Amino acid sequence: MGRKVIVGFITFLLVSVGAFSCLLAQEPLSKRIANYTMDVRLDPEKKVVSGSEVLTWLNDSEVELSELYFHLYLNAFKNNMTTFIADARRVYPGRIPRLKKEELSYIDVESIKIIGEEGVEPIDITPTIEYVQPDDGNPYDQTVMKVTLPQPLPPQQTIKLDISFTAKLPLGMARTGFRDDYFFVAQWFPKIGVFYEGAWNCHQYHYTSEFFADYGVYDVNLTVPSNFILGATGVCRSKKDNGDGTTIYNHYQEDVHDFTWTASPHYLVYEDTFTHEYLPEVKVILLLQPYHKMFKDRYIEATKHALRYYGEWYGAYPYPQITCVDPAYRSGSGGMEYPTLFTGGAYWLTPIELRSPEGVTIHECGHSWWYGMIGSNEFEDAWMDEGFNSYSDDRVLEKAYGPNYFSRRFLQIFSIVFKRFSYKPTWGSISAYRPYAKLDDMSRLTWEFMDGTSYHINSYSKGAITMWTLENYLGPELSAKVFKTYFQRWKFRHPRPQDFIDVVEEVTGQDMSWFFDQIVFGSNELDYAIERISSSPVAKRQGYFDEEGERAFITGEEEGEKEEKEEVIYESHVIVRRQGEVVFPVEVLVTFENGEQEKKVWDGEYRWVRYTFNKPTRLQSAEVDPDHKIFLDINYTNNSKTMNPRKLPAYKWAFRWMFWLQHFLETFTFFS
Amino acid sequence: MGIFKALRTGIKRVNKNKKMWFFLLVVNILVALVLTFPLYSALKTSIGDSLMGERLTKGFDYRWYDEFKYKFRDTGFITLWSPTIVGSGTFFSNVESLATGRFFQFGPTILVLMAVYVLLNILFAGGILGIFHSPEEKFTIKGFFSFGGTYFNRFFRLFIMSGILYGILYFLAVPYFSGLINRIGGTAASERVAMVLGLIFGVVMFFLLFLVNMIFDYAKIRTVVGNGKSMLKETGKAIGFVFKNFGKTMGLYYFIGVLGIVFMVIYGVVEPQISQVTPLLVLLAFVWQQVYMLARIWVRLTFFSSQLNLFMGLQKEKKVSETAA
Repeated sequence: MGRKVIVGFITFLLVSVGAFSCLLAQEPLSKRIANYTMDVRLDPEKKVVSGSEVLTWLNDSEVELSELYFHLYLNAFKNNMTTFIADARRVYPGRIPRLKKEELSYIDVESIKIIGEEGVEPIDITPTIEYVQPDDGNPYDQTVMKVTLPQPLPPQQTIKLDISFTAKLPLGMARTGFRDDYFFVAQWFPKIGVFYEGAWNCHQYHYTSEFFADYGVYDVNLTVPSNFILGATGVCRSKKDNGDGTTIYNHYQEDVHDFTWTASPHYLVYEDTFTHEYLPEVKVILLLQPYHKMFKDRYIEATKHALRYYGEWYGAYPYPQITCVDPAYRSGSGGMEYPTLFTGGAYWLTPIELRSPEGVTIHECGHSWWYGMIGSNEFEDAWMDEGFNSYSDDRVLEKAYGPNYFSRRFLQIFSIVFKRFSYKPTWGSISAYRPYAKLDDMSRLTWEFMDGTSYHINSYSKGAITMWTLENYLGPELSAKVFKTYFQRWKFRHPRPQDFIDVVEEVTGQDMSWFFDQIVFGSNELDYAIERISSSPVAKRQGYFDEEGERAFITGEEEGEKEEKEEVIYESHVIVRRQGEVVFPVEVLVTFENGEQEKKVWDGEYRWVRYTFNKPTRLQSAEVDPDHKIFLDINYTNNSKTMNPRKLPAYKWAFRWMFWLQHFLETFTFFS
Repeated sequence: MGIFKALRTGIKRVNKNKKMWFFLLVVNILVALVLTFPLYSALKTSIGDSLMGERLTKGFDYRWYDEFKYKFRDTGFITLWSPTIVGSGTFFSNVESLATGRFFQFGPTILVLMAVYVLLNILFAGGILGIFHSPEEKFTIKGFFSFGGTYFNRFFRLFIMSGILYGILYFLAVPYFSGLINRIGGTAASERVAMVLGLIFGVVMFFLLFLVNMIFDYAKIRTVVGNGKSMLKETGKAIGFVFKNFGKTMGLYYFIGVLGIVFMVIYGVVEPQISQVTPLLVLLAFVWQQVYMLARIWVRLTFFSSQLNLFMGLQKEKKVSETAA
C-alpha cells in the first residue's frame, strides 16, 4: 500500500513537472494581439477567395478605443486612381501596372459583426464601414477601412469580430495574385492595423512600402481544388478531402504577424530538415516549379545557410517549419518574405557563381529575423528591415559562397562568369548608393522618398553599408553583441530606430548619436581623402643667424659637411582632408621607405589635418582608413597617395580595352 | 572545285601575302589607338598617385572600377570599359553586338570610329581582292591602294545595298522578333520558352547576316573577276551563284568561320594564364593580343581568297561543261 502511494506520488510529481514544462514551453513568444481564425475557399476560375475570419483583438493600449482600422490591401489594384497606382506613376513613370478588367483586384467586406458572449446576438457594425485615407486624403483609395464600435473598447480588453469578405485576386502584381492556375495569395484578408504610440498606425498601401502588423495566432482553413498543391504560413495540421473535388487544409501558426498561402497543381514538393549542433531542428519545404527542378538542391542549401548563420548570429528560428516557394514565371510574386514562408526566384541556365537563386533565397529567408521576428514598421522605418537584412545576407553569402564575380548574360541566354574579377557582395550596395548619397535621409516614410530608386537605395543599400560601417567601427565582437542583444530584446515587438540606437549605446557604452544623426537621419556624403604628401631632406640653415651674441651668415654648406657624416633627416608632410560633410573618426596609415609605419587617429572634424614627420627615411605612402572599414566613404580611390605611383595598371587596362576595340572594329569589317 | 581545294589554295595565297596581314594589323592598331589614348588618360587620371596602382597591378579592385565608371559616366565610350569585355568576354560582347545591333547604343564616338574603319575597309577590300586576283598575287602598298581606288566606288555601292538589308534585319527583324519573343514568352509557362525562342532567333539572325555577308562577298568577287560595273546586276548574279552552289558556298563560309572560332578558343585559353603583374607580362599579353588579331585578319583574308578560288573554279567548271555540251 505504502509503495503504491510512493509510486503514485512520484507519478503525480513527474506528470505535474511534465505538464508544467509543457506550459513553460508553450509560453507565447509574442503578445498575440491580433488573432485570426479563418475559413476561406479559392475559386480558381473566378480568381476569387471568399470566406470569413474571426478576429480576436486585444486593445493593448492605455486608452479606450471606439474605432478600429483595417488594411484592405487588395483594393490597391482596384482602379487607376488608387494611391498605389498614383505612387507608381510618380516614382517609376515608366512602369505603370496593367489595368485590364480581369487583371484588377479588390476586396469587399460583406459584413462585420461583434461577437459577444455565447447566446448573445452579434452586433452588426457593417453600416459603420468607412474608407479613410490617413496618408494622402485620396478619395479613390480604399486600402484602409475604419469601423466604429457601438461602445468604446477599454484598455487590455479583447474584442471578437466576425468578418465576411470576398477577395478578387489580381493578375500577379506587386507580390500577390494569379497567373493561369498558379495562385500566390498575399495581403488578401481584412487585416487590422496596429495601435501604438497612442494612435492607429494603419497606412494606405503605397507603391514603395511593405507592411506592419501585430503578432498573433493564425488558424486558417483553406479549401482549394484537390489537384492543387498548397503551401502556407505555419504548419499543416489536417487535410480533408471534401468529396466534391476540393480539399480543406488547416494551417496553424502562433506568434506571426501575417498569413500567406499559395496553390498550384504544378508544384514539385521536396522536404528536408535543417539540423544544427545547438539550434532547433527546422523542417524545410520547397515548392518548386517543375521547370526549375535543377535548382532544388541550391534552394534548399541556401535556406539552410540562412537558418544556420542568422540563427548563430542573432537567435534561433523558433518555428518548426519554413516553406520556400519557387514562384511561377512572371507571376510578380518572387523575392518576397512572409512569416514562415518566402518566395525565391530562379532563372534557367544560371550558374552557381551568379548566386541566383542563392542570393534571393538567403535574403528572403533572412527576413524571418528582421521582418518576421523583429516587427519593424516597414511603412515608416523600412531600413530597419531591409537594411539590416541586406547587411546580414551579404555576410551569409560571403561566408557560405565566397565573393561575387563579374558576370554577363549574353543574348539573354548564356551567362559567362569572369572569375578573375571578384568582389565582396556588399560592394554592389556602395555602387548603388553613391549617386543617391545626398538625395534623401535614410529614415523617412517610404512614400516620401524622391523616387522609387531612392527608397530602394536608402532602405536596402545604404541600410546595409551603414550596418557594415557600424560593425567595422565597433569591431566584430562588440558588433555581434549589439545585433544579438537588439534581436533578443526586440523580437516579437515593434522597435523604432531609437530602440536600436539605445541598444548600440548600451552595449558599447558610447554615445553614438553622432553616427546615427549623420547617417540615418541625415543625407550628407562621407569622403575622406589624402590631399597631399611630400617628403624632402630637412632644409639646411641659410642666411643670418644670431648665435652666442654674434650674427653669423650661414651658407648651408657648413651643415652639408656635417650631413655627409650624419644620416639625412627627411621632413615629410601628410595632409588629410574631409571632403564630405559627414564627420567620422578615421585612421591614417603612413608608411616610410624603410618599412616603418605609423598609424594616426584623426577625429575627422575640421576640414583637414596635417601630420609632419622627421625621420631618417623618406615617406612612401599615406592612406586614410587603411583597413577599409568605412563602407560609406563614397570615394575610395582618393583615400591614398604614394610617392611612387604605378603606371602599369593604366597600361594594362588600356591594352585590354584596346584589344576589345580592335576586335570590335575587325568584327564590323563584316559590313565592308 | 571542292571547298577544301578552294580553301587550301586560298590559304596558300594568303600566306604568300604576309605583308598584307601586317599592314591591316597596323591600320587596325592605329584606328584603335585613337580612342585608346583618351581611355588610357582617363585610367591614369583615375588611378593617379593613389595606392590603387599597387592593387590594380596585382589584381582587380571593384571599388576603384565602380568609382571610375561613376566619374566618367558622362563620357560615353569610356564607360564601355568593363571586366566583362576581357578575355572571352571580348568575343561574346562583339558577337552579341553583331547579332542584335546593340552597337547602335554605343554612342557617337564609337560609331564614328566604326564608320571610319568600315569605310577604310571598303577601300581595302578592293585592294585585297585586286591583289589576290592579279597574276602576281603579291602585296605592294601601291598596288593595294591602286586596286582599292579602282573598286572603291563600286564596293561602296555594294555597301549601301548590303546596308539596306542589314538595316532591315536590325531595325525591322530584331524589334519584331524581340516583340514576338516577349509576347510568346510573356504568356509562356516558364522562362525557358523565351530563352529557346531567343536562341532560335539568334541562330536565324546569324544565318541571315552570314548569308547577306556571303552574297555580297561574291558580288565583290564577281565585280573584280569580271570587272562588272552594275552592282545591282552583280548582286543578282551573286545571289544566283550562292543558291546554285549552296552547299559549297555555305560549307566553305562556315568552315572558315569554324577556323575563326578555333583561334578564339586558343586565345581565350591562353590569355588568362598571362598574369600581367609586371611590365614584361603586360607586354607579353599585348603581343598575344596582337597575335590573335593577326589570326583574325588572316581569317578575313582567307574568306576573300578561298571564296575567290571557289568562284573562279566553279565558273571554270561551268565553262568547261558548257563547252563540252
